[in-house]
Amino acid sequence: MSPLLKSGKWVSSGAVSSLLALGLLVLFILPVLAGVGSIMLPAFGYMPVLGFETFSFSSWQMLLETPALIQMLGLSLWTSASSTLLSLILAFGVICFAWGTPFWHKVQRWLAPLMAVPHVALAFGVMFVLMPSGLMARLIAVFAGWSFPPDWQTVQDSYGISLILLLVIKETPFLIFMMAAAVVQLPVSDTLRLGGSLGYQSGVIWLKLIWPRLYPMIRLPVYTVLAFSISVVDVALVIGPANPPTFAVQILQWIYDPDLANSLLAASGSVLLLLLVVSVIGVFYLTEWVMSRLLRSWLVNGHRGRFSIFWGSLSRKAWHGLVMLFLAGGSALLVWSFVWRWRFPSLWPDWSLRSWERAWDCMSEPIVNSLLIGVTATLAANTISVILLELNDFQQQQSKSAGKWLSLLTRGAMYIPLLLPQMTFLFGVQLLLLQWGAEGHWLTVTGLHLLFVLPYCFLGLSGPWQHYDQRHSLQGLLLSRSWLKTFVQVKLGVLWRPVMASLALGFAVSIAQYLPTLFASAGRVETVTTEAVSLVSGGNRRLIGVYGLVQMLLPFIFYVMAFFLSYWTIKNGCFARRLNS
Amino acid sequence: MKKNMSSIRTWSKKATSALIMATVAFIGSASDIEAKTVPWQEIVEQSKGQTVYFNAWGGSEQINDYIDWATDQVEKRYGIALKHVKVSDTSSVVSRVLAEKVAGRKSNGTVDLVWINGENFRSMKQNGLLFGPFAEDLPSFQGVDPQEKPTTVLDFGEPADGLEAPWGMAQLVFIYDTDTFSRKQTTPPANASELLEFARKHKGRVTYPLPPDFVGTTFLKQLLSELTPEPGVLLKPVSEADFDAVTSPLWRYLDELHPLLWREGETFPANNLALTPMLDDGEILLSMTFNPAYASSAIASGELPETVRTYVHDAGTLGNTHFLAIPFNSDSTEAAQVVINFLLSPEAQAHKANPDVWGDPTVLSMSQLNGIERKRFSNLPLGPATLSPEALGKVLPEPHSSWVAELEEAWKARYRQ
Repeated sequence: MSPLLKSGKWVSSGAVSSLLALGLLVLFILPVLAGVGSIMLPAFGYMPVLGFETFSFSSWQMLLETPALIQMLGLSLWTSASSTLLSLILAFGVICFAWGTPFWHKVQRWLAPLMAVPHVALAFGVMFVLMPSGLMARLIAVFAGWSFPPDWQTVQDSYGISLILLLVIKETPFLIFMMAAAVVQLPVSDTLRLGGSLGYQSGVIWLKLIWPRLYPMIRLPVYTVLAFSISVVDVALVIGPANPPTFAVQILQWIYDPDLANSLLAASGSVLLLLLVVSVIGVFYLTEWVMSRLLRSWLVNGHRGRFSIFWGSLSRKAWHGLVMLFLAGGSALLVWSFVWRWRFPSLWPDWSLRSWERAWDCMSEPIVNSLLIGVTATLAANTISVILLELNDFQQQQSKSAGKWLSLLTRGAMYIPLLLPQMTFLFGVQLLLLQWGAEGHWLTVTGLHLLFVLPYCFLGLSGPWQHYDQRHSLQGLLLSRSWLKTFVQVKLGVLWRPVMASLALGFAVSIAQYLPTLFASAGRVETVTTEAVSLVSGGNRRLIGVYGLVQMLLPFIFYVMAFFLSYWTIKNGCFARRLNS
Repeated sequence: MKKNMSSIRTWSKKATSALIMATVAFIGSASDIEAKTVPWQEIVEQSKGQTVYFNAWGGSEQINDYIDWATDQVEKRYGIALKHVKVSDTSSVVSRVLAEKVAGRKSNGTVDLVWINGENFRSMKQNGLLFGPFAEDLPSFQGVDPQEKPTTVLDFGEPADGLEAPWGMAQLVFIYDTDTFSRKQTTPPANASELLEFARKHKGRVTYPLPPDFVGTTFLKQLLSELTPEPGVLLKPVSEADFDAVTSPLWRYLDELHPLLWREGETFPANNLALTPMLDDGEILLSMTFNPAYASSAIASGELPETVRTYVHDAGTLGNTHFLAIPFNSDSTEAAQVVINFLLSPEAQAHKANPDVWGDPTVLSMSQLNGIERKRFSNLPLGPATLSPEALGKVLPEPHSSWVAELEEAWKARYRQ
């Protein structure tokens, strides 16, 4: 502080701005930490709010005696680790064989829709394609002459393969997106030219020269994928194994058990889940470290590589397969929503509008809720993100070291809710809400959504903010002498497209939230997502088609709107192209 | 004209109710007996403008549509806003209300009305989570005859004590497709041992919903009732029986059955409705439901082919009643009672019993109704796949509700891989 104090008026505003930034961060991180904290005591038998007032290890004893505990933990571990690794390999494969080629543009075109589609809707779609009476089996049945569906274990299989597949479809685009953001900061084309002139195949250049620098930049996103897939509940309910389920699903079942003693069990389970996430991330980190040692000699052994082309076509095919499955799933939802009767092995259904007609009345309220919560959370998240980024920029201008420190802190704080298992701290937050009687209001739900929407918006905007050339603003300040005018007319103008993209992203994140909605709403605030998940239990495919499609379309509409607003504006009552488009 | 009449009636009732209330206040604390003493018209008056959050399982399109219909009706008739909170498991509602009670949320609870029976009711009753008694004071309750339908006041061996009002009747029936059966040249099994033979003949084409799903657990209880040598023991609390001895025939049976099931019994569908599309596609050959008219209404809604029929085991199948109850901390108890009274009325019950709507059998007894009301029911189509009351055969009593948790735990310990 003392060096700051020396320079008079600016200093105090610097201190105020850093205090403001810290205050915002504390406000953001407090519920998360309070959630984790409030789960710790119940995990050891102390939960006065539910009438348990003595410390004991009995719930741990019960936890250890749970039938198939090891299988459930193993299942969670296996599905998350393998889906993360597969997505990482696939994402890297796509990046290194597509970067700088026309194929890259095609990949980029699919990233936004793939990232925007809510997990549950995608799970429904994939289920309709892969299940024993699904599209794929029907196509085969035509040639094989089946009249009954095969006894396949293609969805909800006990090894969790279908769950892994779904997570890979969802996470690969996210990792590609994060890698692309990191790659632009590296001298890739120079490296490629240099490596090429030495006779290295391009795949090998990526692996040996770029990867060691790229990976540290995407390490945290990889960990968030890992943490997410361990504690995911909604997708696991739709497409994951059922007997036994993954561990996170089991915790949810304990929470909703009418025997309140099981709440203690759920609390202990949540702590165990947290330990699981921490240790998996730890193992990942250790593996990285060991690999970087072991592979050091391989990095410099001078082999120029042989199978580049093979790997290239493989990752290209895998990517195509992924997109195809996404498209097939979306079409399956569309078809089922208009079906009257469609028995196996028929390829052509009897059509009807009935499902839409019947669903429409019940849907309006969840749709309105989803829109209200999504738009509010997105606007709030982007406003807060911009304020934080501006405060960071301001600090940076005041003092390089303080600015750097603050921006590291902000970034770190943003990752906390993404790295902790949702189940753990949301269960804790729910206990707090219960005590305060704050459940069941849409603002509470919005608040919990913000814990996930804000980090994604902030991380999405921080890249463009970093690359922004401050000289634009300086020029603006010189001309207008108003910070606000400069910000709105110059900086926002230049950064308009990333802001629009961030709005769309925030909305997509909010639409997909299941657990936060469930825990904060006490069942009173229904969104399209909670409705869709509760439909799973009904097995009515036509209704699932309707809800899945609506869930898929909502974020898509926002992406289209954001895209449109990025390039067009309304001037004097008619559309005009934006200046910088 | 009608409006005038009713308002005069309301006024006079209001006056008398004020008098009664004053007397009651003299005698003792009004709140204890409030539910009994407030005249019906008073309750209807107070219910106007209240919102009722109705927590009911939301997995079925037909049921959701019926609740939608009821929402419109109570809005029009009583000015009550009924909101269907679609839950996937009623036990989650019980745990929420219990948590609210322990957390000290004595009013403004998040649940105003809950669809319930069996062990969930027992749990709420034992923990003092229910409003009432109110059920037997509802005007519509006059249509219920506990003599004819004992399960309308005895819920899985637990007396309802007016803390819940009956809503619908249930009996376990099995569903099959006659067309598929004739192609496979087979007939439906008539008891547990024939079912085992059936599964052996059609390997991988039989399954049941994953316990603790309601119907899945009922299927276990059905098998247990058929297999155990002394089914009378099941009617008493489980603590009074030798659980291992009573249930060992069931486990022996399941050990034999499971390898023959769909996916070799390694996994099970989430519930009985998940069986419907599988039956439709021929992925499995048998489905089961607690609603004897479900198959007919599924034909009407296009979920099953017109060739499906239902059957029951020769020795009879389990039957029970499902109920409506009001949590203790609801702020809309008046409106909740008015809604229940409406749902129990001959009009709403007849609409519900229509297989084109939901097909849920009524809890009302025809002997208690007048001619016009009775006609509403006799005019209903039976539905192509619904068995007549004679064909439904003997209704086996539900085991005491304390058996449920024990059975589910024992099942989990054995058959979770």
